[in-house]
Amino acid sequence: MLSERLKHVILRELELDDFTMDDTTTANMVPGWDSLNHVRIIVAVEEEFKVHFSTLEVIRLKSLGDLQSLIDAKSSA
Amino acid sequence: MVFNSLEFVGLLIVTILATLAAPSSIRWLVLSIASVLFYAALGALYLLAILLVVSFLSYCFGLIISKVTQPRTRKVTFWLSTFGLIAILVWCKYLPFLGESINTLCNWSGLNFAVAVPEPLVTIGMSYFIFQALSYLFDLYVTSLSPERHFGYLFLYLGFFPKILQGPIERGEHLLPQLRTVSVTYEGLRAGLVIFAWGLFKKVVIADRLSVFADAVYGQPHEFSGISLLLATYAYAFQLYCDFSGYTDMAIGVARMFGITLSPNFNRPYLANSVIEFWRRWHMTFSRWILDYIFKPLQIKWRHAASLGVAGALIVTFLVSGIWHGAGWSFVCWGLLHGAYMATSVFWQPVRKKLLSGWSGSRLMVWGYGRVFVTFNLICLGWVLFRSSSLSDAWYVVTHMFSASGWGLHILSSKESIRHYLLLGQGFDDALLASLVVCIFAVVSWTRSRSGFDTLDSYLEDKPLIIRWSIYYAVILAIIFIGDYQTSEFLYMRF
Repeated sequence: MLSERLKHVILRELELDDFTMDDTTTANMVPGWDSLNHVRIIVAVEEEFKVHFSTLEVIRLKSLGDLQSLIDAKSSA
Repeated sequence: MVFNSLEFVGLLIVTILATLAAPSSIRWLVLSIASVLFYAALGALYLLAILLVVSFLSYCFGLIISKVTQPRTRKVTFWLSTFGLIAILVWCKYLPFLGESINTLCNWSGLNFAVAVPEPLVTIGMSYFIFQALSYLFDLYVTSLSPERHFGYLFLYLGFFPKILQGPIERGEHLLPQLRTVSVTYEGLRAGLVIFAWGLFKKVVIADRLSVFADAVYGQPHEFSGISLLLATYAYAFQLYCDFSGYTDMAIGVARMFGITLSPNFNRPYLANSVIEFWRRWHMTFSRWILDYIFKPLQIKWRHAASLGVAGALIVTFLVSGIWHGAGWSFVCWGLLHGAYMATSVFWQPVRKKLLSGWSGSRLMVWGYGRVFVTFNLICLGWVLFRSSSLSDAWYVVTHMFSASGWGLHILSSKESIRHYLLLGQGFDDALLASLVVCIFAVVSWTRSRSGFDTLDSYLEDKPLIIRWSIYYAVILAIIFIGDYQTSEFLYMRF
């Protein structure tokens, strides 16, 4: 389940007012989420949740659900 | 052995018949034998040995990476296998270039030191199957791709004869499953033949015709200036596209005859409205490879440097692209040029967005066409480096392309002048025929693109019988009567 906090970060970085997202949403489904914005979003998520992702962990992300699971795992560690 | 040869036609027919006769469980063996014979026909048997070694290493390391659970051991195994495969490529393809470069550097700096420079080897196909092996290992390491446990299928995945010489560079998850369901059907043969014929048309009717013009100028560029250099560069741009996309069509067509769908490699690249877009349309399997395996990891690693990190990742990625294309400083410069284009776009995109925020209608449309024109010319600037025999020749072409002596009304002052400047020393009939076939090709491509069809076969599928067969006959007659058979080499086989 995507947290509102994560959704807010993504909407803010992509300058979107609103967009329906869930666990199965992938980057190419979200308007403006290109390779340039991808790293901005990852950096913003790391700053927001005070976590650090390894390069491999980020490469393995396939969907927003994966990102949320990774945040949860890092936050509880 | 090349696709447009009688030997290949013979091998293909025998392979199709053998596949039909063989039970499905051993069709991989039929295709593997055909692939071995095809590759061996190049006359450099060590290439086969290298293919076998690369297949064996990929097979073993692939199994180890998938079996090991300890993260550090997996990581070490992955990097060991990656360096091993890259070392093979560097040893075979780049050692002479490295040796010469070291000696040149020592000469310039006055050092009394020289290394022995080995003779360059024929390395046709090696860049392609080694990059494919690297993608297989990377996908095993990073994703949930299962390793291939049957050595024969892995060998065939790397050495499959339609794609071994010039790609497409296939991902394991796309090609490996298909190798288990090889079949020869009427529909596959029909579709494959149509796609193959169109590829052959692009190669012998368009590419090889245009090569006469490009070669005439790039063979001795100092004999030309001005508009001649520009026309020759444009001719080369279309020659390269038709040559390479023609080969890809032929590869896709041959694979289709066995029920295998290879990945598309081109999507009307010269209609791109930016260099970024161009690389989404040109040699797509290669650009996806460098994007997924070089750019993305670097971009993520350097993410805290924001736009500078992205720009740096792009420059490194396209430097690798240049080096992959050839062991020479022209290719390194070509790669760096595209890296510079891409890096610049990182900073230009937000500016452009602000600039166009109030635009609409015809203004935006003109801007759109302008972008396509500018992008095409930026790409052509890169092709000057690609085609020139040396950096000094490339420099001459670029610095003399707009020299006054090569433009102006004096070009039209006499027949000889027109022949030299506009026809690049060739005959009027040759120029007319080349222009005609390029126009026909442009119309066909535009019609297909408007209809949204990827291949000629899918475009013709639901057309009336008379239309389909008229086009088939037109293509075959064009291949037979206006094909140029003096050149048989495919350009991208050099990389």
